[in-house]
Amino acid sequence: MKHTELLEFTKLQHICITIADKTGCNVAIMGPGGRIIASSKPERIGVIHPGAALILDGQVDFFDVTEEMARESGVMLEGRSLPLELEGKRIGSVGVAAPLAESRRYSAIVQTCVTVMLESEFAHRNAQAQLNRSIESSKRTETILRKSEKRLREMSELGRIGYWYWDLASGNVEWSDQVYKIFQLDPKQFIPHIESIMTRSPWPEDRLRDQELIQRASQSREPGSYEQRFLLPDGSTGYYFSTYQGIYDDQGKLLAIEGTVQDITGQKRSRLALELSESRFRDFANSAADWFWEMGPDLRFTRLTGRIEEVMGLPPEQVVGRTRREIYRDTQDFDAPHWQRHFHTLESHLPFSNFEVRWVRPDGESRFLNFSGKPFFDAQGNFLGYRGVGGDITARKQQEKELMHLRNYLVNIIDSMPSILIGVDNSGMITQWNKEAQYSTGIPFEEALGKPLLKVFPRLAEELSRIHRAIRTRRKQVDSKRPRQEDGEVHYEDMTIYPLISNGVEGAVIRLDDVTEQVRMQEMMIQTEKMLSVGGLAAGMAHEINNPLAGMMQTANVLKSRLTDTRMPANLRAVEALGLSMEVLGAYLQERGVPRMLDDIQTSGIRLAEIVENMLSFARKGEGGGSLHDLRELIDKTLVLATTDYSLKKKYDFKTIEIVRDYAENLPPVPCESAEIQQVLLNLFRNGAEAMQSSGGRHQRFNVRTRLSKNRAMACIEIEDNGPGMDESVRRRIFEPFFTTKPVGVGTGLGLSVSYFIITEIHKGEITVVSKPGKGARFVISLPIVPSGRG
Amino acid sequence: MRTLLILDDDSAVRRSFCDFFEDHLWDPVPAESGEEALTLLQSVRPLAAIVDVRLPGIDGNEFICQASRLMTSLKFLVCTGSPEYRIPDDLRRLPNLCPRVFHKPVIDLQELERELIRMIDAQGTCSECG
Repeated sequence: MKHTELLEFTKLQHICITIADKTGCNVAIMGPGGRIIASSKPERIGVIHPGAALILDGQVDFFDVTEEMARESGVMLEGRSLPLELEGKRIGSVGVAAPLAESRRYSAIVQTCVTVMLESEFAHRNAQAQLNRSIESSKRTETILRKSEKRLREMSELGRIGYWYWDLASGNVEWSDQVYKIFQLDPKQFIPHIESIMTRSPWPEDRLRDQELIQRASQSREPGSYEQRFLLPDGSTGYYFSTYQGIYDDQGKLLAIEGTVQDITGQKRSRLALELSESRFRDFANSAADWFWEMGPDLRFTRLTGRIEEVMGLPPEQVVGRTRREIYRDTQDFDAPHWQRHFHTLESHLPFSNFEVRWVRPDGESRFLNFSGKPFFDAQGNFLGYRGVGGDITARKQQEKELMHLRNYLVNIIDSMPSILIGVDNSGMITQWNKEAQYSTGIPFEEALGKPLLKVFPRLAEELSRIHRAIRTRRKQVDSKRPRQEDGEVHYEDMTIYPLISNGVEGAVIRLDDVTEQVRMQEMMIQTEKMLSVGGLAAGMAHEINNPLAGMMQTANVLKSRLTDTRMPANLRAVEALGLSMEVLGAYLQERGVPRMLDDIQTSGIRLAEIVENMLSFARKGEGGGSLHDLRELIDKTLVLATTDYSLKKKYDFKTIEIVRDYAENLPPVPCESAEIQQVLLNLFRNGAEAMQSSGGRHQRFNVRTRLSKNRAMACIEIEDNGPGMDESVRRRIFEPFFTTKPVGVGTGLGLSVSYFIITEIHKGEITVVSKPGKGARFVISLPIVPSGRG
Repeated sequence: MRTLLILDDDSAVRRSFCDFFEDHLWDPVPAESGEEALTLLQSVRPLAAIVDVRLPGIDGNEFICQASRLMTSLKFLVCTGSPEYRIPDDLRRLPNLCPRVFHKPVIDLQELERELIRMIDAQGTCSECG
């Protein structure tokens, strides 16, 4: 600004015009703030120079300006600042923008301007002379510059190298065209300034790059290089290689930094891609295997990486150079087939996978290892060795072991169930078949598995719909006490069908429990309850019944003797007094059936008395024990009694019935009340005989057996007839008090219930019956051999 | 005539016994209660007594106890309608009490009579004991 103040406008203007005339160029001189103060085009005078934008606009391609002027005007100099000396003294600099400028037409201005300035500074000198010299000098310089610039431009375009110049004082940066191309920026829109450039490097680690560059250039005058990133207009990141060199003043002060920039995005990207791919591979490999190994053609390990030491407890250097055979020699049996196969594979140069080995580490810990490997060959097909991976599968092996253990445990649980457990899938195929099912059907698991339920377990054929319902509704289906025939006996079972809905596998489990014993026990308990209540009732009633009964029967007794006893003195006296005769009276009574009526009264009375007597026996509490008796003797005595039993009207002839005895040798004497047991036996023989008689069977037979039931420490008596048998409804009620199949008035319906009571309550034994219509009946009496503890 | 005390509160039973023994040439003396029977014993001297147990007032056991003191020669035979009846221990020691208990209804009255005669015929030895 000093300069402009010192010079008269007209003089400056004159200079411009003169130079323009001589060079054929436009010439302008810029003042402070970038205002054009003199110009060969007078209309431009006074216009404020807008900076780099104007230069790039092409309106002014080059202008002379001192560093100071440039700093003040905000115009960036792109190019080199050549010191200009006069008489050994630096008086200014010449701006050269060789890569940028399209023309060197303004070269001279620089010197002119400087000269002008010079002139102003050294006002006593001859300005014109100086100017002339300057012009001569500038012409020389122009020629040199033009050649140099051309060369540089060619090189730059060829190598896609951009040139930049950074003026540290102003922060202005000048770019060659190539830099714009490299950074994909529009010269018309982007004004390169250190700050605008830095905004294109938003990465934190690049924040201080400009400062670093200054520092580096300050510390060393040697040129250097660096890599940088640049945010491109399309949002992608470009990578660049830059060189730099500082520009210093006489005192060595750093004035500017210049350099080149080269686009290396392509290389950088491929390098990054390579790095990524490598790291990916490393990650994949690491997650797939614990370590990698390589073998040479001699099958010795050449290279190991990864966690081998951690897993095997061996440092890789102890493995390298050895063969697998050498490493495992101490812990393995190489004769084992899997090792034989493995060695054969290796020697045949074949790939292998998942070769599993148990390894005992030097510290004694056991590990399971897994190897896979692939042979590799050179271009000529020569075997070079193996590459492969190794892994620690101890955890997996452990899990497998635990899984197996758990499975066995569950199978054991299922098998130890006393129930039949059958698993079926949705289509009725068997998926599970436990021990009880095998035992019950005789079909082994292997045979049942996968077969249709219908085929293997036909008696569940009717249950398929139930199974489907259980699966469909996801509710268990229960059916209790289902009767079924087996070996001529009725068995009962509870069936439960549980739907299986876990893990999306549809199916069901069928559970069958034999509850025959429970059902029988229940029946017995019901009987006992009934009898005890009958007994209680009878005990209360007996006295009240017996007295009037005695009045009736005893009176009938006396009545009979008074009417029919022809020798009784009282009778004779009375007849005589009345003028009757015993004979006539007897004939009359006979005629009118009176003796029969009296007999009927007697008979009915006796039956009534028996009923009361029988009912009363239910009131007796079990006393247990009794003296020891040989059951065979008791049976034989009872059979004799039955044969001579005429107390009832003869409905059967016991002598015609065949008795087949089958007595066990080892039967010990049994503690019991012999009279009561005989009563029971007699009752059974009578009932059986009557039943056989009524069915009119030709060959009537009793099979009488005794045997020992070892498991329950019971002596058993079986009395089996070949009579008509009975159906289930009768069988279930046969021990009930007052239940009878005989015509009204024939039986009391108490015989068997009394027998039942005697056996179960008094002797703590059991009495059961097995029968089917047309197949006879078999009564089984079981008596404890050891007397029960109950008093 | 052999006098026989019939002690039973049931009139039909009592009368059937009286009728039967009358026919068999006994002299039955009926009594409805123990108290009445004890009073009767002051005027009559029966050889034996058929005794019911459940009675209004004193029961058969008590009657036997008192009557055996009043009349040491009197024989007793229990005939009861209670099936659970057992001779009490203190009475069991009495030599004039028939150990066999008859239960009502007595289907065979002749058997009862025979038992009575057996007891009466054994009087000599038994009274010495008593």
